[in-house]
Amino acid sequence: MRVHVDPSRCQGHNRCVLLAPGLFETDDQGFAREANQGLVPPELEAQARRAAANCPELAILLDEGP
Amino acid sequence: MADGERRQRAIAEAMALDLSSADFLAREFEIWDLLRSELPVARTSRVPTLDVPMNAWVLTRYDDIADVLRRPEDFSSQVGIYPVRPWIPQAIDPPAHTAYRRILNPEFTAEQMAKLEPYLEQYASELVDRMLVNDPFDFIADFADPFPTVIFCELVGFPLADHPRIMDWKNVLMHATDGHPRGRAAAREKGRQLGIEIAADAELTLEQSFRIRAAVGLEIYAYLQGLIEERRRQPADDLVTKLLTARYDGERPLTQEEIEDTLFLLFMAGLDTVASVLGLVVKGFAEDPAKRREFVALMEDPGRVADAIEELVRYHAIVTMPRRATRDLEIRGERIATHEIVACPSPAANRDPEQFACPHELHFDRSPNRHLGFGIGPHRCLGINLARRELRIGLQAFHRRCPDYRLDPSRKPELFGGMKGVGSLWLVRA
Repeated sequence: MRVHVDPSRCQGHNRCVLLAPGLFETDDQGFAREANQGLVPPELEAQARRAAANCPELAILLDEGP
Repeated sequence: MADGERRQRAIAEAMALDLSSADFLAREFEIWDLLRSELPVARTSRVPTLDVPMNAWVLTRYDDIADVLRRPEDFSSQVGIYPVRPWIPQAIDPPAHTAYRRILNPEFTAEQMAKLEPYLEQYASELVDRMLVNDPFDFIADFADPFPTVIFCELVGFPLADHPRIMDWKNVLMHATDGHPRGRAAAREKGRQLGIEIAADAELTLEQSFRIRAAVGLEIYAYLQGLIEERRRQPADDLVTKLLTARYDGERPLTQEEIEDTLFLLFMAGLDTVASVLGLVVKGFAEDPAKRREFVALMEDPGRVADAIEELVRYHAIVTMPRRATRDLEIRGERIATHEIVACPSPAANRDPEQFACPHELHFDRSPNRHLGFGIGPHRCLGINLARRELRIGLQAFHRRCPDYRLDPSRKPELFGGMKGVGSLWLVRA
């Protein structure tokens, strides 16, 4: 699984960083981006889904992969 | 009730909508539910929260409100109700808004706010200790009001000695006529100083309250000018100083007026919001001991308390955001004319059953929870990370020392509306 934050949608609510601190980080403006090229280890997949579901701006894209 | 009758009632409720009235505050969510199902794009006869008597619209569905707040090109934040000048960045649209936010955002990141943690913890527990010397005690006067405002004054650079004056100004500007007890008293006092005749039992007229608020607005500007002058001479580690060295678009320094208008906004937004939510949360917990115990049981668990704070902000949302249509357009087939105001109440959006299962219940582990308590779109609350941290630390500090309490039966909580909150909240330890 991979995650990607759409920078044109993210407004910096920081919900993803709170819900999945290993998968997302923020820049100096407080906007979120994916950490580690967006690669989601299997044990963090539930966190990734939770972060995507809770983004108020619907800015997080999940790629479930093959 | 027949469908036609419900719709007629919705039309009447919407036309008479007055977010500050005691009647509205007692029935708020019943009214939002009625409008959301019968009249999701409703005409009203005065602008909610601004109290200006002119035709306006009020929305109640989550999707509609989120959509309006995400479209600043169609729904401008320049609503033209500011007593002196529009506040930066709240009343400014992109692209200028974006440039101002680029200056302010780095000062309010989670990393920056994390540095305040030890100070917040210490100050919160000091206030709680002092408050609990008395029983009964007023949670608003002794905790909810001073906690976030003193922190904020320090962050921005307002001298602590000016705190009482600053609170009075804020109360007049935000709460002259919304049922806030100290706002009402301070506005009347200011009115007398200005030679405005106010009968003891009469409410301020629109014209009187505007004159009073404009006079206070000018006093605040004069105060800010003094503070800016001082920091020019002697820089400090605060936001005023940072604004003096900031570059707009990385090119030019901010003008004197831009600095003043930014500080003015911080002043208004920073002094009131967390206090209001703290007041509403604790009032709710006083009335619902089972929910309070549920919160106390989870509040030391970092993952669970973060979700619980989001849910409390959803449930106790306070802000109704006004926007102005920049052109003729339609929402759900209703024709909105250029320059008409569209009010977006976050309390209504946050109780929409299409978006939130069992919206009138507090579920501390709710997911998904894309609430609008901090707004949405480009104007999303600048202080979001400070607010979250203050709410968590404030509620933890209070409930560690005082996990059981109830309302003082002899003194009812005083509520105010528009920008919702609690003016006084007398509690007794159980």
